Amino acid sequence: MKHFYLTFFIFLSVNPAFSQGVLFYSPVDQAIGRTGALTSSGWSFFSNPSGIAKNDVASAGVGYYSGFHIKELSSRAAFVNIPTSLVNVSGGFMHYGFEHYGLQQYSLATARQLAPWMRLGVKFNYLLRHQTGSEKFGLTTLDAGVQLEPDPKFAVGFYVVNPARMQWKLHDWNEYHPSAVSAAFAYKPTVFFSLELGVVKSNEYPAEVSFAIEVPVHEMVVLRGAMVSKPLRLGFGAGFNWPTIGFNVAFNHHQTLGFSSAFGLLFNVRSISGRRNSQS
Amino acid sequence: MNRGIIILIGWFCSASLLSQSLDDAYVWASEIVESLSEEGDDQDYSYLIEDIVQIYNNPININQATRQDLERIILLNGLQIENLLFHRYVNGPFGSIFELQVIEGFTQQLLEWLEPLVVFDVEEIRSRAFRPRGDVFLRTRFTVETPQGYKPKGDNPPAFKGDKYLLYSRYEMALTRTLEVGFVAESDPGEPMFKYDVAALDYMSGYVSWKPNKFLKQMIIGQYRISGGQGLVLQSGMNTRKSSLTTTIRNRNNAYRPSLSVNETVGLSGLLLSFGGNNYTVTPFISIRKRDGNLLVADDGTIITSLRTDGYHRTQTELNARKNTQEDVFGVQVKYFLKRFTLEAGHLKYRLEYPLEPTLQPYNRYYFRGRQTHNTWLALEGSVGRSYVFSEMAFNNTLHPALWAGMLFSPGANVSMVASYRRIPVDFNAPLGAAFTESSRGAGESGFYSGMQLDLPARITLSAYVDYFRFNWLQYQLKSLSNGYDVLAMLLHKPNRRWENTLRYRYREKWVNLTSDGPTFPIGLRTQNQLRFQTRFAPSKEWSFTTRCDLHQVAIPGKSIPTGLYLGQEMRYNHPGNKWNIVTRYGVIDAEDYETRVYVYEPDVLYSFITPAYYGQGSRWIVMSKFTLVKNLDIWARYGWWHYTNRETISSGNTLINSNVLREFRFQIRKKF
Repeated sequence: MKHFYLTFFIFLSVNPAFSQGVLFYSPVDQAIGRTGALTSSGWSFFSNPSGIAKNDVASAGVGYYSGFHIKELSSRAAFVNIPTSLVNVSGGFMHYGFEHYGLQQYSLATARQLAPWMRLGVKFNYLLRHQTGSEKFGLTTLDAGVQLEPDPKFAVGFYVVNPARMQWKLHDWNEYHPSAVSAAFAYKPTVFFSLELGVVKSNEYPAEVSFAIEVPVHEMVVLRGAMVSKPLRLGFGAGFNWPTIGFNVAFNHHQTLGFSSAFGLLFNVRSISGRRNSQS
Repeated sequence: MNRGIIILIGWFCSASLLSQSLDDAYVWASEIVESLSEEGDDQDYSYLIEDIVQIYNNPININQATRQDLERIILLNGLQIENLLFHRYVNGPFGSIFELQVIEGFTQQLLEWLEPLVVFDVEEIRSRAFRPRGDVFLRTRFTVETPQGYKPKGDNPPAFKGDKYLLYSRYEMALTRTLEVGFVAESDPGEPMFKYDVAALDYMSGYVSWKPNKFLKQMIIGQYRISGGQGLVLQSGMNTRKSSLTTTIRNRNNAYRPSLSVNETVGLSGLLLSFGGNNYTVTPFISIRKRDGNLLVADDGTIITSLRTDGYHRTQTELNARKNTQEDVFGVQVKYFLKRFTLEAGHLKYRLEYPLEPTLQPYNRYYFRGRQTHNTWLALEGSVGRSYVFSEMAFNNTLHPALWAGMLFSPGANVSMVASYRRIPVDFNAPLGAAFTESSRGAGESGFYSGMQLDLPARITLSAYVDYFRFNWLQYQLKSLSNGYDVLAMLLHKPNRRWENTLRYRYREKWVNLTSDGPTFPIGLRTQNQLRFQTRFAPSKEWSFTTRCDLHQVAIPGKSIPTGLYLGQEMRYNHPGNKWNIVTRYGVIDAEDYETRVYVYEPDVLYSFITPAYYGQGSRWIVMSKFTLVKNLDIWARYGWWHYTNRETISSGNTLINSNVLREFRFQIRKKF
């Protein structure tokens, strides 16, 4: 199985997909400014598919992201995550845009925890682009990620979107679909409390460095905060978790453009007694 | 320095006891090469791995080793070697690695590093049966995209006379215990073969080495490398550099050794003899070889305006300059071993077929000119108490000597420090010299270097250096006397043997010319800040993961330079049976300005090191695999892919590629005997 995954990872890293390539910013990480490279709940479907390998319950989620509270810059998403004995599989849908321009993304992700210290994941995407007065265009891309835990208190994550630099073949020209890389390094003094330093680099934009903190203030409530560079933005969020349902909300403030927000619901189809994921 | 890689075993990898294969050593070696490469030149690093292969394949017998043998292990500083020899003399042979713990300066960590490099046989290894051994390599390399130089321009033929394939072959064989032969041939992409006055491949060289180790210690016919003192006069291998190995500044090159380097401008070719007794050696050497020169033929004779160093012979112009002048070197090196000290003296004569007369510029006023020059050097190294001193004084047609002196000392068990001073006159010329200096040429430079390595609690090691340098004459592209600083600090955190984190910061400053519209020559201070974080996790013998992030910021007055960034992830898998392995790396680079380039070591086939400067905007993907098809037959295949986002063409001139994508394949086969 290792060999299969390795081969698969190699293949995917030549093949294609982030930032602007990311249609939906999940409420547990990207919406507050975190890279998401180390997210390990169902929401990692959006920010690093290797994280879904850590889920041992079937789950489904829906979310909404509002960019600067402008309707046209908002996106919505839904996903399901099904753990199996072989791999964890997730499927999902994202939509970004408005009446005259929109992107739909259908994704299928698979991930496996190869060892207690390693998770690998890949995500296949099919994007559909529509624009008023133009025919629709499709594009297939591939993303890949890895999460490592060299020590129970430390974790490293790396995620690459569209590494193969796939292009949209439009009417008269080709257009590169965005590619990006994110990496994060986390220190977890306790099981739920974590400090995370991350960087996201999209091919088209300057690198963003982020620092995030996640603190449980109650057995059912998690608070999150983050700072992101270029321009300096502050984000904060919260998660409210019950055995079968989790609600997450996030806000991010840009000094010129104002607030963005996101929220999401995650349903655990079958909960396991005593287990509660802090990021769900 | 050439054995500096071995220190990597300790400095850069805590997994030495988990996995001690050659492939792992190769990874460790990459770190030092990368560090050294940041100076931005095109040194041939291939012999670095040769040395580590030699020690891996033939570990040093600690109970039979001489001081010279132990010098090969750069992990051991001069003081530790002295202590080891003294302990062995008093107490007899060692039984195991653990017995070394009682020697002063031998920490637990040092023992871990040493374990794969030494054996503890009491019997003389020479008494064992000898079996001839060697290997042969074949290598090729090519790009999918074809540069402009290979294409006809209208009715004109292509500028490059050869095809776009690199061909490399190397053969090395130990025929008997004392006799070794080696041969290397290479043709760079674009270089013709069997035509245009190229008899076969563009570069062919080799050696025969006979090492009876009696009164005649060694004889080398063919290509060799030789080093003397601290390299002020003679350093035909790689010179010692500032690097993360902050206390390794002493010249640790072998005094001499045969070479199969394909760097056409370094090394010597001819005859070397070494003879002597137990406490002295005398090494006369001759080198006669052809060099590439830019010649100017005038009525009053031919002169060389410059010696070419790129080694390319692809275009007609390059072919015209191929081996068109001769360089002769005659010299002798004498060493005398006096208890804890080594005294060295030497003299060499350097002669060219035609006078070297570079176009006179203010900065090169004191460069070597004429047909010949002489150099003499005196060197001393040895231990005094808890210190180890190493120094050299050199002369060149002037009464003002060049000086280089350093001292290593250990104030405590967990700390080692080094300090050195150098002062080289402006008019000092040593065409074969390459000492530890800031500038590549060294002449006209004075400076003070101080470095330390300190073991801190929580398995953290701090390495740092400060180098202050001053140029007492103009430099290339600098119309003023100047000075500067180079500061490095590195924290290495190794919480366990499987995981290590490195945080490295480097600050450099030096003066540079500024652009001016007027008749003035303003200068400004160029400052450079480099920050690197790397985490490497090797949870088992099979897997290894490395995540790395570099930031490079350069400030020059009046110029806006965006900060450079590199972010990459590498995965490596070794088959448990060592039948095959695979490594892949994906990274993004955003360094619009060449000033903020980032040097990144790339995995490559055995004996080939590449640490290209990443700049521009784009992504880089590499995948490489090695298969052992049958016993003693290995195959490497490597694919590299560049994808730039801020340019439509790559490179320029004859190497121009009309694409933002560059794909390259490399293949290598090795047969061991």
